[in-house]
Amino acid sequence: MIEVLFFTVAVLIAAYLLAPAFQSLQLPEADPRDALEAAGDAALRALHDLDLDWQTGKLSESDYRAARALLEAEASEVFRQLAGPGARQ
Amino acid sequence: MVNLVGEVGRFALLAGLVVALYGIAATALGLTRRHGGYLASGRRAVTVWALLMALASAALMTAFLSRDFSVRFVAMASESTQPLLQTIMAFWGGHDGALLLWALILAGYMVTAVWSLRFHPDLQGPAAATLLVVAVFFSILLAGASNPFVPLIPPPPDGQGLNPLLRNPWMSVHPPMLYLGFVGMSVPFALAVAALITGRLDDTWVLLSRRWVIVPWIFLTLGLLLGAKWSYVVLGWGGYWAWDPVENAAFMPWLTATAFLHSIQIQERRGMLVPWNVALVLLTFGLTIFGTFLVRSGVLSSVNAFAEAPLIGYLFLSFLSVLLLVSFGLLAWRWEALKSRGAVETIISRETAFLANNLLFVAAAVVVLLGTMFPVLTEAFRGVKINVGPPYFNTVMVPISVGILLLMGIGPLLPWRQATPEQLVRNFTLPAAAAVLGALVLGLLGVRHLGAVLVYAAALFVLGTIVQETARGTRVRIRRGEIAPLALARLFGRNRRRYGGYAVHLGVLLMLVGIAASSAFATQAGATLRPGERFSVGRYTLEYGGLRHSELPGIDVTEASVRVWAGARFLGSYAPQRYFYRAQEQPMHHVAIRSSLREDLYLILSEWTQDGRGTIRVLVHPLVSWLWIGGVVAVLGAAFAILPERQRRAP
Repeated sequence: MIEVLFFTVAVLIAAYLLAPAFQSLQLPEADPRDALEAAGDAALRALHDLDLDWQTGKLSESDYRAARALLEAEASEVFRQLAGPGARQ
Repeated sequence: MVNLVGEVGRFALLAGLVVALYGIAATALGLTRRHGGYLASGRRAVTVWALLMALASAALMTAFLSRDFSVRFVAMASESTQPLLQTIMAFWGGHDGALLLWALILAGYMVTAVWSLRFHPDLQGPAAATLLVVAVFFSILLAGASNPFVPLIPPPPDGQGLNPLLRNPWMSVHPPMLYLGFVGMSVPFALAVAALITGRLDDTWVLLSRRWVIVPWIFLTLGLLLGAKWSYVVLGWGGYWAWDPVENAAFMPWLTATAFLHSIQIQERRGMLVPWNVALVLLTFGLTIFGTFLVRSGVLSSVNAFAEAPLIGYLFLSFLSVLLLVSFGLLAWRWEALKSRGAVETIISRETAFLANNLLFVAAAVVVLLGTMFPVLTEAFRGVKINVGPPYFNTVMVPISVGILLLMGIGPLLPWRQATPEQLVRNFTLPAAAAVLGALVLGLLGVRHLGAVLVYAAALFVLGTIVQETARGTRVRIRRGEIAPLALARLFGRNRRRYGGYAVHLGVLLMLVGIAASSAFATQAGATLRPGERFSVGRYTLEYGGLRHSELPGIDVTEASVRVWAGARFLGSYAPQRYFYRAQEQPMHHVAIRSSLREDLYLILSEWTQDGRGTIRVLVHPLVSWLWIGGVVAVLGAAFAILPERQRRAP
């Protein structure tokens, strides 16, 4: 009796597992914007941290301005690409 | 008669092995043939494997709760008189059940990780396949050499009972926490392998890996703390850490994971150290498997013990070898693509401090590894087993710990890229003054223990940096018109990573202060007394009141009564006990502890005589409760650091 039960469960598992394999599902493609969004988040976080470092006296004014200009340029480039064709709404 | 529970368990484990193998094949086919259906089928295999592990676990728990001694593991790890909590704990009270718990936790992580990667389809498939490889390994063990459902014919009338050492409530949470930490490291490992396969070690990987390392790091920290607490409360030797191989096995991946959590910030901010970060993740998971091998194979209790469980030992070693070979092979394959975008510009910068911190953490892991493996190596090469013991670990680890402690203070004070001399003076004056002043005060107070003075001075330095950073950040917000409490709350709330990190630093420094004080300044004494006699230890006076004998199911209990005074102030009556487990013929201490922020008074009933005399051993451990408090602060800080931050606006 128990063998029948296990056999039935095994068949159900096999059916559940194999069902999608016979469907012609489209291969999900990675959206290149994922990486850009992550880079954008990282750039904004870096700017926020830099501002806090400056406000708490870890940077000279000239170093702060130079570093901020660099990070702003990086962030602007990322957001320019994100706002380009295919932008998410 | 068919044992339904055992049959269901064996079926679930065997089916789990087949399903995991199928899942790997389906995912691999899906990736190579770019077939979405096969990939979906592979994802279903993850879910089904998880359900089968849950079914096997439910079957084993049912066997324990119904006292089904026809299952060998149940008969070995429980007995009919065991209370409910101990019966539940028996699930992981032996090798086979512990591996099933490991598989159950892996199942939970796998389902969560694969689901959370639904928005990263390119990483999802390879990560799922990697996790399924780990699942196959544990399924092979569970369906074969470590099957917890092996029948016992004929079933005995009663079981052997849980090992008395494991019958403590701390044991109900210690192993699950440790396994949640160990197994959790498989997810960042799978993410790293997936990123190496796809070549996507960008900011997405950084973001995902950081979260997936912090979560198991929290559990691993809790597991280590609970293990130390168990050792302190249950083993009755007065300590909480003995550099035991089992402790070391959990400590090594904690060290490399902590190194990763610092070095990933260099990658995030400067695009540097990508191969190093990947290597740390791979190594951390490798160390969790290696640690499990050390503990489970018996190789460390004696090299000869390896022969007692040769198959399990060889399986672990083979899996570890394949794991490291393939993953580091992938790293070598991608080496060119992982070259750094940035470079260290000056020696005095935050990235240099983080680099030094990484070297010290990895050096600490190597020191622990060498010390742990030394008996195995000497027995293999010279035929003599030589244990290095705590003196080796303490001698090497104290300077490393002081170095790490100092860098915990130095790193946050330095800016990225470079610092000017004026800023160094401005930022370091207060913390350095606190450290020097603290060391002088300790010297004047007569503290001559160099290691402890160094740790205290370094701890004051770190505390100075945390206070200074918090005060300056709060002041900035106050200048904008916020009231002080609101400014402080918003400073923390809007900079969770930074101030969560500082909270972890605060916790670690509290722990190190507790460890230094309780190691360097512990006092102990012992006396054999007649009822009514007194003796003194430090500021305490103790009066022995005699013995009381009683019985619990299966246990003979002997209890001493001890009244304690500090000077003229009566503190209370305490009752250190000795349990004797009749079936296992095993004695166990039940110590009495009076705990305060200042120190712990630790009472042990060592021996007694028929005429009522008792030998009481007393230890006074200064600041030991700071260790537990610091651990909780560190864990809360880490949890705070991974809370989602408010969305920031583009410039």
